[in-house]
Amino acid sequence: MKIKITYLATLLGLLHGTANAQQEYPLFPGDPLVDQQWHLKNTGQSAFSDRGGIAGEDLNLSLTHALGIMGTGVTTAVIDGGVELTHPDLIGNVKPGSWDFLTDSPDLKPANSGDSHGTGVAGIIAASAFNGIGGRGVAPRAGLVGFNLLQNGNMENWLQSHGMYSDGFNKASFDFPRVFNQSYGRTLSSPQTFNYDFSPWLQTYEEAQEEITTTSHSGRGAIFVKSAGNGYQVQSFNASGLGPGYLWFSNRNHGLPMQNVNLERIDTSYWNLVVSAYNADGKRSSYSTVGSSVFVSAPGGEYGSTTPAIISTDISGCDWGRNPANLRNSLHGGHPLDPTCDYNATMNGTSSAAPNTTGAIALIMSANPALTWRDVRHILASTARKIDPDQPGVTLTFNNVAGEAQQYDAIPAWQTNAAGYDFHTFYGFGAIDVDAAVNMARFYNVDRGNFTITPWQQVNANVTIPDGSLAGAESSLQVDNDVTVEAVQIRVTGEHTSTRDVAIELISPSGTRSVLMTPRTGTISGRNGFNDMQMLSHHFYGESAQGQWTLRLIDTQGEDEAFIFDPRNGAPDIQAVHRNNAQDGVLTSWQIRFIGHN
Amino acid sequence: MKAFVLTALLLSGQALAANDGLIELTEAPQGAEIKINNQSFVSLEESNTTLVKGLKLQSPVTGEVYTVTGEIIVEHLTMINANTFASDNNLILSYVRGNRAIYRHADAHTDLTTLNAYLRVQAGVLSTQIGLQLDGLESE
Repeated sequence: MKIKITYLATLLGLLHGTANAQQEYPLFPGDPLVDQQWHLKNTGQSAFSDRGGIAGEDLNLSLTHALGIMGTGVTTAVIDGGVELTHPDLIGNVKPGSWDFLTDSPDLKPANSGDSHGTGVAGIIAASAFNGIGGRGVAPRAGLVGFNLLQNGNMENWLQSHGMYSDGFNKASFDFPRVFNQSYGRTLSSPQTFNYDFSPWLQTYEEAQEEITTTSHSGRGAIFVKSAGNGYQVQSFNASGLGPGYLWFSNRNHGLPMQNVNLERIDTSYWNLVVSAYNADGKRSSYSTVGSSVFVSAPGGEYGSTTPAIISTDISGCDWGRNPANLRNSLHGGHPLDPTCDYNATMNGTSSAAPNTTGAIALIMSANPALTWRDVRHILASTARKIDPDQPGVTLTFNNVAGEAQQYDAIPAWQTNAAGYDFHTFYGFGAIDVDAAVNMARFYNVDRGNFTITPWQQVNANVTIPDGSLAGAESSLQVDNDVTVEAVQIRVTGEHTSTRDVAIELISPSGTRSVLMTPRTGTISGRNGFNDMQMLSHHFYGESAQGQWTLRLIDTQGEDEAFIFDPRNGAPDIQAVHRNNAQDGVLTSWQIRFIGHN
Repeated sequence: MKAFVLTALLLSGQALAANDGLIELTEAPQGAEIKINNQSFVSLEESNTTLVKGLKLQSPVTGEVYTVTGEIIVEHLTMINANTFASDNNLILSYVRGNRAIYRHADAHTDLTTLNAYLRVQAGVLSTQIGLQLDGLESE
């Protein structure tokens, strides 16, 4: 059956020599749930929730699949919890190399009935097609290996799961992963230090990822995809004395994210391609963490109850996985399309956006295996779709110390940088457009120049950050290096006893303004200022580094703020307060470096 | 999806008298202080400050919780062969790149303070660090 479909697809591809990436092509039938998989082709279907989304808000991959480009020859790694590699919709794509860190064996499997996350992630990437069961992956003929790092996360296991195979697995081999999916992360409550001396694990991570990215597959390399996180609205505390609970603001935090992706150090590493999530309506998923280090956005959906989540593989059986606990969705519990409960329709989160991206990258690499990791990143940035084009951003209104209302453009609407690239704090360069990306990949002929990472340049500023004032602290640096920017990294050191109040923005010589740290994050424990806090921005992609760069820190709060701590143990909510800083802060120094080409 | 990821943050829950009646949650980790890699931590295992694999630590500055991995990260002079260094010192080589190697001791209960001090003065060693694993990593 697979062979016949491939011939048909090839014929279709030949007939459509002038195939248009904007034209709508049907998805081939052959999987009973595929018609409900809105992330592959959004027709407004409900995906077993109360209502559907908006047609066309999807990965746009139907032409790619119609051409028979389905991920053949590209292995993907699922770094997650357990993965049911024997799942009937996954087993056909499983490659050698998986490892179970609980049993120290290649026999990777879920640890228990609730260890379903990795199986869902794997299915989004590469559930098989045309086999008459379940749904379909984004790259249904890509290879799969899995690692249950989240079940046993020590350094050796991290290294093995991220490509540094302890057995010397051949990094040039066909089966060595070209895409690594990392649907995991942390929630932070204070700014963190990015310093190899204090945190040697950061150096280990970065050097390993750089090595795999740039040297595997004979230099064509690999890509590490990373979820942005799910902390836009609420974040959690594990409070000693109070127990675990959730932290939130009754004013919805002014519409601003509790978590900014630049709070998570590994998301500020250039070697991670960070992905935010959008829903079936083509808007940011309600939970998705955002920020300037988001590269692209991909389907993550909502919760699968009132509006669609993502349909993917589940641990087999009606007593395992998401089926028994998530009956709010009408697929679960033995639906005629899934009588043995091997699928779920409530997979969501940036955990889903990441594997949708991983699958999309597998398709791009499959369409043109000669592409390097840099080519693929460039293709994604160049072909991303300007989703939610009228998204207005978020303007923060606050009172200064004199009680006067002030307004700060904390999340701008869509912007276009000086090199012509659109970007948005919610979506990075936009939603992945697979057909457009594959079309560019097939006829790719772009000279990306010589990749370079400039040395860090230090600026000693010692500028006051006035409390609750738009005036802010400002410091500039003249850069002589004529690098074409692909990303910019900043490290900030300063004194401030309420980092939650502080917005950090960087302005390029071309006038492009990137908000690196949105104000009013959930860093209520940020009483010790910033100490080499690293942030990354993709917003200057394609611009020249030469000229004056300006860093601004703006304190957006002149008053105390009330918030709510909601204990998980059912105890009543606790009305809490975040005290405003008693004195002005200081921007002590900052560093900048450019990642790009010349 | 795990909708909310736990922050590894220790909060005392101590209520400070405030005229608005609201509680201020302040960071106040309890335990014995310990210094690793020139950074201060608090042991989360009461008064236990013996550096062995598995010891839980918290940064009083950032609130992050770490686990001691049992590893020593060594920066060598370039002529040093990490495999030879490992066998000479009864270590297991976990990872090496350039002149930076990660070792662990065959005995998982080794006192890492002693081991670290011993390795630091060995020939061909430029510097050493004690391995820490940041906790709180969860699916999202």
